[in-house]
Amino acid sequence: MRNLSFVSLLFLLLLPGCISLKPSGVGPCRATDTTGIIGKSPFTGQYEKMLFRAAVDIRSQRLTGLILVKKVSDSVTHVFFSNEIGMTYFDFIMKDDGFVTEYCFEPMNKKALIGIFRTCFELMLKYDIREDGRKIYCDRSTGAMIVSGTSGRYKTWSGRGPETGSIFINGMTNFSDKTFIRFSNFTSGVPSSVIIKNPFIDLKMQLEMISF
Amino acid sequence: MKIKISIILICLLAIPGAFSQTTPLDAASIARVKKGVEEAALRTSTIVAGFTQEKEMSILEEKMRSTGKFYFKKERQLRWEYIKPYSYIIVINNDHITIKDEQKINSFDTRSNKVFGEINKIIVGSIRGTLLNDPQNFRTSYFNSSAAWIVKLVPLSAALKSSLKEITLHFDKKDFSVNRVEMTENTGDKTVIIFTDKKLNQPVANEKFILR
Repeated sequence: MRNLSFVSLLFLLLLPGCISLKPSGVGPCRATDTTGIIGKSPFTGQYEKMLFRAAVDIRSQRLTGLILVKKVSDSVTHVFFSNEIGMTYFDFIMKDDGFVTEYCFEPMNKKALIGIFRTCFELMLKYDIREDGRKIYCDRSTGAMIVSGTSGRYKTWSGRGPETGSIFINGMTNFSDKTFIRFSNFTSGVPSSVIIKNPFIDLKMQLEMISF
Repeated sequence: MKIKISIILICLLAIPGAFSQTTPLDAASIARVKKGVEEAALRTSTIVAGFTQEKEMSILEEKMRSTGKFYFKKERQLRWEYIKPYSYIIVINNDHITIKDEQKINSFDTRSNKVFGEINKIIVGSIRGTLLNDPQNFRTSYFNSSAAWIVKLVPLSAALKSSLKEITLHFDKKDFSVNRVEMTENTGDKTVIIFTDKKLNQPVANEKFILR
């Protein structure tokens, strides 16, 4: 009985980790013109400062407020999350050579959780697939090109999503930080809606742009 | 002539300092302020006010500013209605929080969102005057300024101390109601909420604290 409970628990824990990064319905592709591939974050080089309305669900916890993304130099970007009344949840600094927690609200200040947030924001803001080793696939139903490869320390898949005009970036370093990002509602190449999911910890982050 | 200009310049520079100066209160005055706040809390059943909220952040040159309408009804019902820069309503009804963001409504318990729970305690506690008599959770010091009685609260509880360095409450000299709440975080970032056009003890329907 005890063994059965243990196996069930293990199964439940590992189940979210089994969700594949590779989108379904994808197969080999003979495309030679790769100009349309999605190999970069739609935010790359586009902003100095962005403000989003944010709702972050982690299992039964819900945090809402504002996320401010602010470039303080070419190589340093702050990602700052506070609730509506102004209290800070976190202030992360993304650098070319690392990721620093400037501040994190104590109950969230866990290395593993911060690592997951790092993956979310680095893929959302800095995704840039390497030319070498990348592979092009096609969506069998739409014919849209999908690219797999590496970006920084992440294994990634990216392309046009099933919803009209949407883009996805999936990436991970290990099974616990497997991250799925959807960008939609584009205006002049900039998405105003971003949904980030991490099935391992049941994280869902919904961002709606307020100002750019 | 030069001396005259220097004297005028010194006077001009000294004026703002003189007005913003605060002096510590003696024991008798502290007792008077405490009594005044307690009596004001007892005779206040509702508050309707405008509010301006400003968040000062080290990474931003400009302040993040929002305005809206505030409602309080005894014992622990609050409604924050943000109007600018975007529409947003937060209702705190005892231990229950409801947020209306455009047409989306989310409800959760203050116990599942510790930051909101603590802020709720601070705002309600400052209106009801209970914060001034909470030596287990706050170290208080009292000051007099030309415009207000100022009470500085330093959190003592581990939960609050991890995010807040100091809370400053400004009480109206005439009616002892709260005019201004300043929350300084450990990072030095600060949120200032200023209440304007306060109307006390006007009828406020219970429906204001229910979001549908």
